[in-house]
Order: sequence, then C-alpha cells, then structure tokens
Amino acid sequence: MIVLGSGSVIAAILACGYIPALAAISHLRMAWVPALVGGLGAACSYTAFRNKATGRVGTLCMWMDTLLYTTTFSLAAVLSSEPFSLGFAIALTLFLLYFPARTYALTVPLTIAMCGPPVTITLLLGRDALVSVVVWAACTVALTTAHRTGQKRAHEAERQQLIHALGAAERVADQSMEAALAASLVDIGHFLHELRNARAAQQANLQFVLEEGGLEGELRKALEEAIDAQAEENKLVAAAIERLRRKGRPRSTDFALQDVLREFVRTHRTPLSVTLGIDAPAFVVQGDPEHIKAVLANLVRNAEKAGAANLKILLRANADSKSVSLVVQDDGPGFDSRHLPDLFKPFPELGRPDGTGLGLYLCRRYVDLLGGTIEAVNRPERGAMFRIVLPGQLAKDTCA
Amino acid sequence: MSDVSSSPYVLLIVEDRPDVGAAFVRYFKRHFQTVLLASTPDQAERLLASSPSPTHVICDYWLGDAHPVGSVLLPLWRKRFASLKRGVLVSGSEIEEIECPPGVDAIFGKPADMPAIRACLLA
Repeated sequence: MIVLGSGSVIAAILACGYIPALAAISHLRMAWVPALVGGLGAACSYTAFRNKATGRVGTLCMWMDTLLYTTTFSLAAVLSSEPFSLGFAIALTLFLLYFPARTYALTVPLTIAMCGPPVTITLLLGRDALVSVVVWAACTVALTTAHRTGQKRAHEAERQQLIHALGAAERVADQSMEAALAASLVDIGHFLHELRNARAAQQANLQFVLEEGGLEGELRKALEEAIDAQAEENKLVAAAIERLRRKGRPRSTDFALQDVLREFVRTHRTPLSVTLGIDAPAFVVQGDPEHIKAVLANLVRNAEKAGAANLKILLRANADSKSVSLVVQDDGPGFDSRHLPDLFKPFPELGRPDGTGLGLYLCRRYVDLLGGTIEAVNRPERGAMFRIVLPGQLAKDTCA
Repeated sequence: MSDVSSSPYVLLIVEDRPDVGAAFVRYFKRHFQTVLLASTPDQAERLLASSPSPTHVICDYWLGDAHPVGSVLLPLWRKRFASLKRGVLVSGSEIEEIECPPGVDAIFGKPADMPAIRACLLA
C-alpha cells in the first residue's frame, strides 16, 4: 500500500511537470482539463480497488472511472491537433476495447460511461471528421464487445449452474442406487430368513421321523430319499439366491475384458478403420461391461469428429498384474494443449461447439465406476491418445 | 430308539417361530431328559432361573426386532446361569461368516443338520 501510494504521488508530480511540455508538443489546448479529469478517474480507480470493486461505493467508482477516462481521451482528442488528435482517438479505442468492453456486461450505465462522453464531446467540440469517425466506431465496437462479454458471462453462469446441477444429480443418483441396493439386500435377507426357517422345521421333522419312526424297508428308503432330495433342493435354492444377489449388485459382475473389446470392435459401426491389439493375458474386470462399451463408443465418435481415419484399441498388461492399460489412439489432429486440463470436466469452456460437453466427462465417470483412471495426451507422431487403467485380476485359467 | 437315559440333561430351545420350535422339541425330546421351549428372551430367562435348570441351550439368532440377537444373549446367559454347559446358535440370517463369540460353542445355519447339532451339544 505504501509503494502504491508513493508511486501515485511520484506519477502525479511527473504528470504535473510534463503536462505543459506534452501539451505544447501536441498542441493540446486547455491541457489541465483532461489531466484533471484523468486524475479524478485515477482516484476513482484507486477507491474501487480499495473496495474490491464491490458494494455501492466500489461499483459506483468503477462506473465513474470508465466515464472519466473516456472523457479524458475524448477531450484530449478534440482539443489537440493532428496527428495527436488521432492518436488520442486510437488510445480511447484501445482503452474501450481492452478494459470496460472486455470486463463488463453491457448495461445502460456502462453504455453511458463508455459512449456518453465520446459521442457528446465529439458532437459538441469535434472539428476533425476522421477523429469523430474513429471515436464513434470505437464506441460501436465497444458496445458489441460488451454485449458479447455479457453473453459469455451468462453462458458461464449457466455452465456453472449445469455443473452444479449435474453434481447434485450425480449425488442423488448415487444415493438412489445405494438405497435401491440396500432395499434389495434387505428384501433378499427377509426372504432368506423366512425360507430357511420354513425349511428348518421341515428338515427337523423329517430327521425326527427317520430316527424315531422305526421305519424299515421301502418306507425308510423313501424317507431317506426325501431327505437327500431336500438336501439337493437346499443347494439349488442356495444357488438361486446367489444369482439373485448378483442381480441386485450389477456393479460386481465379473467380465472378461478381452471378450468385451472383441465384441465392441465386431459390432460397433464407424467409418474409421478400427484395429484391436491385445497384448495381455485374459483379464477379468469387475463392473458393468456396458460402461467399457460406452467409453469406447465415445472415444471413437470423438476421433471421427476430429477427422481421424484410423483408430487403434490396444490392451496392455501392467507389471502389477492387478491392472491393465487400455489405450485408444487415433491419427487425427490431437488435442489443443489448452483443452487438456479441462478435458474430462462437464461442459468444458473450450469444448467443441458441436458437442454436448458431456462425452468425455461421462467417459471419466464410467471409468470411475469401474475403479479405474483415464488420461489423455497427444501422441508425439500425431493424434490423440487415451490411456485407461482398469483394475481387476488375471482370469483363473491363466493364473500360475 | 432313545438315549434319554444316557444324557440326563435339560435342553432349552429359544426360538420365536412356533413351527421350528415344535419341530426342534420333537426331535430333541428323544435325546434329552427334558426339553423346554421359549419364544422370547424373557421367557428363556424365567426358564433358566427355574428348576430343572437347563444344562444346554439352542438359541435362534434373530428373535425379532424388539429383542437382542442370540449372539448377544447366549454369552450373557452362560455367565449368569452356571448350570449351562453348552450353547449353540442356529440362524436363518446371514451370520455364517462371523466367528463364535465367547459362550457360543457353535453356529449352525438353517435348515439345520439336526444330528450335527445334537452331536455338538452332547460332545
């Protein structure tokens, strides 16, 4: 703050010292008027800065500094001679385009602050048509730019709302899934309890008759066969219950990754030339195989849209044998490096205009559900490359 | 046919389902001198405190929402009633994975292997 204050004082002294000289060089009449207005603008900027450009004072000072700076440049432009008048007009243009128009959304107060002084001053005091044309053109472009800034801001706010809503939807979906799963398990638990009790009574009675009934010959044999049949039935019921449990937990399905990849390549329709390379032993992943297919379909679609002609899906074994790497690479133009940090976020700011903004985000989500990770890089030779690491285990028949 | 005379013990069956309780009583009556049936923990405690004192207990794991589970009750009863020599849990619930708590000699799933329960109690 001391540095800022001292700097301001020094700048003011220098300005006071040089203003007469600068005015003489540029034939600027009444030089102290624009200088004073500019000084007031600087004071407003400082106050806005102190108030962090918030609150009534901060907002008012931000509006005032724009108004005062445009007044300063406009006065300087109309009160000086060529070529300096044109220089001041260009300075006004640059100021408008690089500061208020790119910072604020278009509003009536901003329109007044940006265009009010230049238009009024050039109309009342302007003597050079070229300067007036430059100033009005600057105002027009500034208004358009500010309008676009407002649109961008609205779009960004909407994007943030969507991200927020999506996050909430995700949480609700997760909670619903967990609740549904818990409810299913409770239902299965109740069913099992009742079933086992009913069978316990049945089995105890059969055993009682067998031991105490004094049965012999065919009667005893029939009872023993009934007991054996019941034991067999118990096994069948246990197997059915196990299948029921698996249906209640779709995420815990074990599937052979290689089979899913082969099926995808065989059935997925795309104009790209897709090749599959498997350099890993048979590997089992836990989760929903449809998620793998959805991720691959998305990456293939992206490669198509990016203009690739060839796409390779490669499955490689990892050293730990508890995971595999699924690499998807194409020969398209690759990624703009600015896109990479936000690639897997929903509605990325720099996403493709024809995209939904959700494709790669959903890819990451599906990979998350499979317990894996996904990353994207540019290939050194050309093209995009996605590397998906999926946890799992070697298929039993391939284990040592 | 019956080995009551060789095992002069008193068996208490704690089971909330009447059909299961009746079947268990019917089966074990031939192997124990006296077989008592309780459908709630309160009833069981009254029987444990009365004469003849139960020497063995078969307790269901799940006795309803309002009562503690068998794996909690059985260790308590083994401490409180010195007459109890052995106690087993039978369960229709998913408790096969748990280890026997102190005071529980074995856990059997339902439908139960009756000769195995008998052998465990009389071991």
